[in-house]
Amino acid sequence: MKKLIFIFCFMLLGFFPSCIAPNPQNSLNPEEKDVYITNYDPSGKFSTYKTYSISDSVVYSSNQDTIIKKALGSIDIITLSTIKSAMQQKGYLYVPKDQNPDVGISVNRVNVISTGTAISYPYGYGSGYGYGSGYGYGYGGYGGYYGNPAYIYNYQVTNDALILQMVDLKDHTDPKKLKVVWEGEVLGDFSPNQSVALEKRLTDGIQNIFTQSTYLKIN
Amino acid sequence: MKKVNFLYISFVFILIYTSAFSQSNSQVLAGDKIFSVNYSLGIPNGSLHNFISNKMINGFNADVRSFITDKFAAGLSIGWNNFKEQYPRETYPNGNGSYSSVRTKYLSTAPVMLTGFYHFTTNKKINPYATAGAGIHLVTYNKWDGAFGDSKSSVKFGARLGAGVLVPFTDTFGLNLTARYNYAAFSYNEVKDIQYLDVSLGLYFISF
Repeated sequence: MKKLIFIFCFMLLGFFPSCIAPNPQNSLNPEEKDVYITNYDPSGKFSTYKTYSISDSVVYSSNQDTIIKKALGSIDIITLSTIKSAMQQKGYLYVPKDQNPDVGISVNRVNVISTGTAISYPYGYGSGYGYGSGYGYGYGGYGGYYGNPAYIYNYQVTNDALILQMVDLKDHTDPKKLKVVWEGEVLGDFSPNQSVALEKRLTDGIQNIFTQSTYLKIN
Repeated sequence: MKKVNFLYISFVFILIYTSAFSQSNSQVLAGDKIFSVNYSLGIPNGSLHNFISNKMINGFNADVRSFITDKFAAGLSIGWNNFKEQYPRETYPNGNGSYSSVRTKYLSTAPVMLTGFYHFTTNKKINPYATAGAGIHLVTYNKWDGAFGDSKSSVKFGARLGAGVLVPFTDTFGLNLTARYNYAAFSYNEVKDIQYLDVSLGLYFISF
């Protein structure tokens, strides 16, 4: 009988690990872990915008550093050109800033090193992820423009974000208070030495956020 | 999973083959105890099926029953069933916008039940019994979009009804096959009360 009880206990121990919840961090590649989020302001007149301009560099900010930096490395050049290409496919025409573009696009990279992050959404992104109150973290905007601030909240995993904001330069009363009419985000872990190159993840993410924003098109 | 299925099927064949040439001659009496350990297939139903439709052999349970009379036994059952489903990248609408993710859903339930068993026979080639239990379920709900998750764990009341058979190989050892319909009063997001069928196959041991 002792032998039977031993077998019984051994089988219980042997199967114990199967009751532990799986962690998708272990089964997904870095690109599969990325989430692409888009939001728009219903008052945005996307079909009437014809021209756009884009920041000439990428703005980097982190909760580990109080300094907000601009950069134009090789990955930033790829990021900007992918955005330009996506805008062109949507029918928008690129013009320099001094030629009165209808909209401006700012490109930001945000890094937060903590356990659990999520980003607030100016247009009321839903509470499906249980975003709670946390600490705010603003980031730089398009050239000299600053859109609605986004905030990163503690949630579950450490993350980075590529955030594109489109501001309306056509319809505003105060150039210091520009309205963000669209926002696209690629959320993921952008730390180096991952199995999928960051360039590919960012270009795929950018293409996805434009693809899922079907309202971004001109007449 | 294929490896598990192969092992499971092999296990069933070996035990059925063995049982065809064996039979217990001894009657289980009041005071005797039966221990059983089992693999379990979970088949989700109701809102759990809407949440995760996969049937999974990813469960395990064990019980001990003590015979109060020659036919009626009472005891404790413990175990767990895990349900998991993963979807390729999809775009989901959300307010004034949308998000795109690889979605993973997971639900685990670990019941601890006070259980009653009514055995119609205990000394035949196949000995059927009915079972009912009530107790608690430790439930863990997870839904991830990429690496972002929403989770909830809680302990809730649960109950079950089922039936099974004991197929003896020797006087003290045999095959246990049981099917139990489980209910747990757990509701969160799209899951409104948990219902699932667990079909379990394993071994039992009798302590006279």
